[in-house]
Amino acid sequence: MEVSSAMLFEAFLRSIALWWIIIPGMLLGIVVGILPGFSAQNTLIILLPLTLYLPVETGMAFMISLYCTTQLGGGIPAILFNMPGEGGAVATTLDGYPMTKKGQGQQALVLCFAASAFGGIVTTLTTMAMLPMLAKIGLYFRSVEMVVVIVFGLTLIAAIASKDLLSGLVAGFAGLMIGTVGVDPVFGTPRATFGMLELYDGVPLIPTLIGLFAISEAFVMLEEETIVRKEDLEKAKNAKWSETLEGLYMNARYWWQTVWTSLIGLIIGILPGAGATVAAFLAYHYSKLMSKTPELYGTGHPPGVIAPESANNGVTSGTLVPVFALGIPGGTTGAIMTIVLTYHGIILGPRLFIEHADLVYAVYMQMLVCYLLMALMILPLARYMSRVVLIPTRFLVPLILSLVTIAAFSERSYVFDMGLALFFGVVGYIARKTRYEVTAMLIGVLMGPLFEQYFLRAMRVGQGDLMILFSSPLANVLWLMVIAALALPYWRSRKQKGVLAQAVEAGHES
Amino acid sequence: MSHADPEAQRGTKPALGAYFIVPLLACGLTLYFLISTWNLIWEARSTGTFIGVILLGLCIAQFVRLGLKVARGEASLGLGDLVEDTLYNRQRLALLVLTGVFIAALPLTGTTVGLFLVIIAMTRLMGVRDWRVLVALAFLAAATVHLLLIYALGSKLPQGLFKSLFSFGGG
Repeated sequence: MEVSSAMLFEAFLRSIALWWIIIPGMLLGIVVGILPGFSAQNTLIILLPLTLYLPVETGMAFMISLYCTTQLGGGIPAILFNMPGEGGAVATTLDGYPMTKKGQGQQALVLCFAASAFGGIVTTLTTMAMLPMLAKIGLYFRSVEMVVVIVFGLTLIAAIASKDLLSGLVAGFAGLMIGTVGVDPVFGTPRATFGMLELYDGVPLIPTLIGLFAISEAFVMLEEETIVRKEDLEKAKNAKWSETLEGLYMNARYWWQTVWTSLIGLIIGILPGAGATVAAFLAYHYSKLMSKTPELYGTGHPPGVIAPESANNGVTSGTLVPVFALGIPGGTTGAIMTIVLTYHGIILGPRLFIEHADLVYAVYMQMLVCYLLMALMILPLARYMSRVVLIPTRFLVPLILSLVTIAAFSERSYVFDMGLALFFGVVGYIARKTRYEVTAMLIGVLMGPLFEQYFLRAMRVGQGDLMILFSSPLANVLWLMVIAALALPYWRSRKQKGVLAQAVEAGHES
Repeated sequence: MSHADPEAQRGTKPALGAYFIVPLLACGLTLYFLISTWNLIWEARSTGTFIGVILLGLCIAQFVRLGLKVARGEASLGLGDLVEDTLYNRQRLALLVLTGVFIAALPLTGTTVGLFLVIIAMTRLMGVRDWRVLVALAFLAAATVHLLLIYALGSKLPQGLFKSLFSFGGG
């Protein structure tokens, strides 16, 4: 089937006609994104009977709109309460929450929404233009390269999120170690489970996220009257529409950053398993690296919100590429969409572009329509949601503590997970107080099982020889990038100290 | 490391004892993993051993760094404001205990009733004295959770003795 502009236009019109299913999908996606414990994947699984019942294009429109807006929704609690609703929003806390504390929560939300929508539009259009070519990227990343990608991601996170690299690495590798708890993937032998049956499947992610971020943050938060600092409270209370528009202006000012960081998300999205979290941190890292003012990152700097948000939405376009082109889902969301498409008799893989090219492009058009609708929702959503942070902490802390404890139950329906969240809450609080970055720890836990999967596969190929990890040119390039990520912060601080010393010396001489 | 420490602000030595807690926990988990998986086949041990050896190295580097600061007299081994007897620490401890009791009593009280009671207790602890506010807030939160999670989404959250009584009564 030939791809023509008439076909694309028709697909666009068909997608707009599906507004009645796209808008509920978007609203549900925002709620799912905000609530920790409710992932897009789980919601899609719950709603599978509905999507299977609907015609294929309508079902896909619902799933796509829910999936895309979940990434946006995850950024809302990350910015307002320092509690990412989704893994992909963890990097957003680094600058989003400091902006809220400065009374700029509204601007931060506009930045988040605009970067998500704009980044999503850019990557959707790019994917449509380059779909057959992009599909081949995933083929170059085998187990060895994926091991290095994960190590690279973790090193970046330790270097970015932590003020101190060694403490960041301790936290990150501690997280990876926690990720190895549970039965081994080959023979099912329990490892480091402390005799608890509930840990046989590994340390569950949602209670860990809730404990490390939400519970520990509630313990920190209680020392303040409100989340917004006292000196910025009046500014936050009297926020005007002009300030909402200021967020849009900031986004327009950094438009190029939105474009290239969303493309990072697209490429990471194509790789199996890497996902929105790695993409957001990579984008944040490179945004900081390229910036003329890297010292402002982490203090509430707008590009620090734009980079991760555009990247995590860029991932959504990439996720579907291996599904369509190879018939291999890169993650759970891709797998659910594969199930729905296969149920409707669609054969995925290279032949899809010949037999059902209209469907492939219709799905991307639905994504485009979803992002366009998202752009319209930016201003009112940001304006009214940002008011939540004005609620005094004497009400917020009890609500957060009790409700997130309940959310910890949602993933596996074990009361045990609520206790686990509380345990990680205490660990997270101590880690925050002693400056071990909880973000690095969480990403370690998140990446642990994936790391084991690829590491084991690589070791089997290399018959137990660790040198297999240095056996491919692409992996070696990635190793060099790991070394650069480790050395660069050290080199930068040395350089800064040198400049400072020179300035002091010059001051003495004059 | 010492800039934001309250001790540093007060002009006393920063207490670095608390900085040992996370690496000590990490070392404990690693050693437990290495010892408990010693007899397993290499596939089951390899990833944990690979990560664990690196982690132990990083923790040792951290211990040496912190130890040197203490040895040079720049810092003490105290636990600092983490364990100080302050209002905030007492509130934290009480909130922790209340959350623990809430979780432990959940099979008995059920989610809705348990949530209602724990929110009242926590909000009271945080200094809210008006009973109307306490009850209204707790009722709103508990009712929302019940309607959204238990009723609409059919979550398997524990419903406690009340549910059992109703089922019994209803035959």
